[in-house]
Amino acid sequence: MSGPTSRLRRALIGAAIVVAACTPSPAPPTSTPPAESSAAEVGNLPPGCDPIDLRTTSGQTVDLNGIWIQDEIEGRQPSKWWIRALGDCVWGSGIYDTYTEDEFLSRSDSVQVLQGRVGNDFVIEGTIVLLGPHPAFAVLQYHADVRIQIDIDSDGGITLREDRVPGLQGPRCPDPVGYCPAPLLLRPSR
Amino acid sequence: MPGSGRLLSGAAPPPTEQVISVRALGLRIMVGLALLGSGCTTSMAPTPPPGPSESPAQPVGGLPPGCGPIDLRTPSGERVDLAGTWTQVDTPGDAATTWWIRTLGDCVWGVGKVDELPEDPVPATVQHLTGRIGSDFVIEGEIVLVGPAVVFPNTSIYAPVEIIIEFDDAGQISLREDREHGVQGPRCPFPATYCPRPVILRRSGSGN
Repeated sequence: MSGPTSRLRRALIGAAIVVAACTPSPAPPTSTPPAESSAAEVGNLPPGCDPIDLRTTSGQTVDLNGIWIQDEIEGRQPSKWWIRALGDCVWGSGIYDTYTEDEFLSRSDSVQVLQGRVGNDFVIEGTIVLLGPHPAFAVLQYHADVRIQIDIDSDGGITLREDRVPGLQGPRCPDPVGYCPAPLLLRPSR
Repeated sequence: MPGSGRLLSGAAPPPTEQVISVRALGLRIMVGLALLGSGCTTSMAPTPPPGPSESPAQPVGGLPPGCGPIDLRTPSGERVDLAGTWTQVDTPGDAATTWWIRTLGDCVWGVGKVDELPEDPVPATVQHLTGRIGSDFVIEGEIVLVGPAVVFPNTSIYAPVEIIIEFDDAGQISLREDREHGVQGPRCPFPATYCPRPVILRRSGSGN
């Protein structure tokens, strides 16, 4: 199998691998060209979303739909998150509970949107976009990738925890001294 | 062609020639691989630089993957910037709703939330918009009803939308969902049960 034909075959296979590697990976939902979206029939999953069946340790379905609370952390306003999961696709909107116009004008994370996919590893991988305005003199990044762990305690309680160390420089926190949104830590609203 | 003649005649080329031609082909493929690899590297390079429409306050990070620069102008030549707060209008009897919008290049994200959460909220209490702005001044995207958990029967939680960017005589921008209220469609599959009002927004605050 070391003849010229096999060498040619290996070369062709190599070309195929490189072409495959260069093919853009499937775009995340924020960047899926919306024009290609088709109308979602009632009860069907949106394009690009797949069924998933996550269970707690006691066998209950993990349902992320609903209202979640981000408690006050590091002096940040508490906020409320509305989350919708359709299959393995997740959308979320987080808004400060009691922002005032002045507060809003000074905080980009007063309104955030999340879009991602839930994996079988109980991790939501996606992106967060800050919709609040850019505070003066702050360095920030409106759009950043996030990883959110779905933590389940011994009682079956679910917590959503952004996989990021508070104050540590990174895409969500390009300027730890000047401006750094607190990592998400969401508990279900009761 | 001599080569064709040999193939047509059924005579196998000398083994050395076959090896040479295969090696040459392999070499060409390897060169192609290298070129392809460099092209691939180039195409996967960091996101394109912000286009002319980017706000001066554009922070670090450039445009997200999949978003392209765009430069829309009002009839008077001013740059169209949708970022900021908007108010839902034309909702007689409905709760007032605030929308927050962020644009990065031609990508748009938005959240609409009723100002005072009702005791019996409907799915459209909080809506999540993502889309792309076209040079035709139309945002094509999707709206997901994210709140609350109570789901009305026959509700389309996810639906494509078209939102038109319009200007009045004074150059003021409004955003209007291209749909008639109460008319059956993807956003309103069963008008008799539940039908969110079309999004019609007027600017209430700057985004930067």
